[in-house]
Amino acid sequence: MKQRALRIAVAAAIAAAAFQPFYLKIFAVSRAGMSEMLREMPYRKTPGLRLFLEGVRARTRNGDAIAIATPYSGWDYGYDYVYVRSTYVLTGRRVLPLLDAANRPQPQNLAAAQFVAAYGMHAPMPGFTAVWSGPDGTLLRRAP
Amino acid sequence: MIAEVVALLIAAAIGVALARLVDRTASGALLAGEGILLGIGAMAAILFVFAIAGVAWTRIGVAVAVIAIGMVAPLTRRFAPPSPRGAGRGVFSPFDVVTLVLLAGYARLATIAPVWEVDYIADFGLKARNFWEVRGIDWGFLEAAFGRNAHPDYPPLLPLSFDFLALARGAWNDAAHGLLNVAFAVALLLVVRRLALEETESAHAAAFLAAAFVPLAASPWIGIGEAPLVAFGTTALLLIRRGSVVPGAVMLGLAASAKNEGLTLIVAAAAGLAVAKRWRDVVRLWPAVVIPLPWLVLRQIHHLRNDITEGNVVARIVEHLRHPKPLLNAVVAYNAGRPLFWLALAVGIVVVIRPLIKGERFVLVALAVQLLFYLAAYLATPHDVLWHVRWSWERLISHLSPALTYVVLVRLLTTRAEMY
Repeated sequence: MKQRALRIAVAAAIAAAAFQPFYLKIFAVSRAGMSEMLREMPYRKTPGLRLFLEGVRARTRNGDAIAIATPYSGWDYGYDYVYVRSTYVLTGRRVLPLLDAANRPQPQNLAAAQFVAAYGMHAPMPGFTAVWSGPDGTLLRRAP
Repeated sequence: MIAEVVALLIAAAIGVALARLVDRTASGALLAGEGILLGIGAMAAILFVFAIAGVAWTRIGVAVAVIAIGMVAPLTRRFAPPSPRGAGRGVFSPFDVVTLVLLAGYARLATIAPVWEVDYIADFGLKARNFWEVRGIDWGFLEAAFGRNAHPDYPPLLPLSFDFLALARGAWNDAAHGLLNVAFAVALLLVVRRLALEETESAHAAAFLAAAFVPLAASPWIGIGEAPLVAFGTTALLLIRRGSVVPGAVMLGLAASAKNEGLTLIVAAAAGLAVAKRWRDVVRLWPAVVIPLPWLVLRQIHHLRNDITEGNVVARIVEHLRHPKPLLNAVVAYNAGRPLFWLALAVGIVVVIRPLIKGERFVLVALAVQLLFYLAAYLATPHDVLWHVRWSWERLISHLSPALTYVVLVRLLTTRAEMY
């Protein structure tokens, strides 16, 4: 009888230790607030990036070649972060990096691009004209 | 989200027909759980076959394939391999209410926003969305994929499952993709509930075990490979343990179609069976090898990159073995789950150590071998070890803890002297 009580107590302890309280707490959480927080979470280090990329998506078509420009000069120091997220939001387009993982510039990708999505930048680019500018970046199209 | 829910219900219905084919004695919650898992696997397989055959994905095409499977599966049932018939009746228990409430909370979390995990955006969801754009597998995208999180070689079951949901809706809706996490959790809990009932012969004990199992089945990582791997892999181990080897092997094959770790789980399961002296059952694992084989061939043909096996693997292993401190430090430093949970589980292991050693060799050896594979991957990693361990250790351990927890809990809650 003692052995059985011990086993049940240990089983209860395992269940209690495994318990995930958030699956209960979530009923008391504001759905709208949490939804907005989670929607932005993958982009939190680059404020405005998601909306900027959505804006680029709305103004380009499948098959368009879009180079990604950022104010970050190192692959591991922000460029990779922006580039990876760009590939998801801009699926269907050819998303071209202007840097490689070893931080080498990729001028052939700029030459192949019809558009440049410049996050966090508003300066003009030679050979391109701005077609849309939002608070967090500019979409440029290759000048004819 | 209604279109996606209906699509999953249709998949589950087809899956039940398939479950009756591969596990003819399954009934009740076991049949339903197996049905959900096989249904999701079947839908991904249909899209895979269409892609290989060069047939663009359309609702009509997939519907015809689904109906065909639904009609043919019951006709072939008499060829189904034998499987043990479990005892026990599924009486409702108050603990089931706990499970349902927690699952409802999990469903709320999983579908509260477009999937937010970075591995979804950089890997599973990215692949699925690219496949969706071309209505097939975009080999050019996979061949060109680069970056630490891309994993173009990963098997495509999960991305194809997202595409099945997109096809059902007719549009990309990443806010609904967390539903798959819920489906995988429900499926595993149904299986666990039924198997625990068979073993404990107590509806309350089985329901308690299922309620305790919710955090293990309901993966906190939404939209990435952990949920399917845990669901398919744990179901596989528990079915094989039960003696339902062919259904277990099918689940093992689906685990290997969800993540590369599922491939090593086949070897780990075979090792477990060998140590348990179930030699004939090792041969019966053949479906586990056949199911992922087409993908393994195709990824070779398309030269899809695998980061772990790139470059001089032996040199990296030797280097890490020569200087193991960073790896050991990382494994100790980074979270492997909740310390209190592992402490309680360790006490449970001590309490039932004898029956565990005597009767659970298969599961224990399979989990130990799988853990060795994970540690070997860290030794072979081309990435910074600290980075690799930091971002994967807890998830890898979450693959192993459900089966271990099940055998410990079921031994604690069973009064019978002998089980399987």
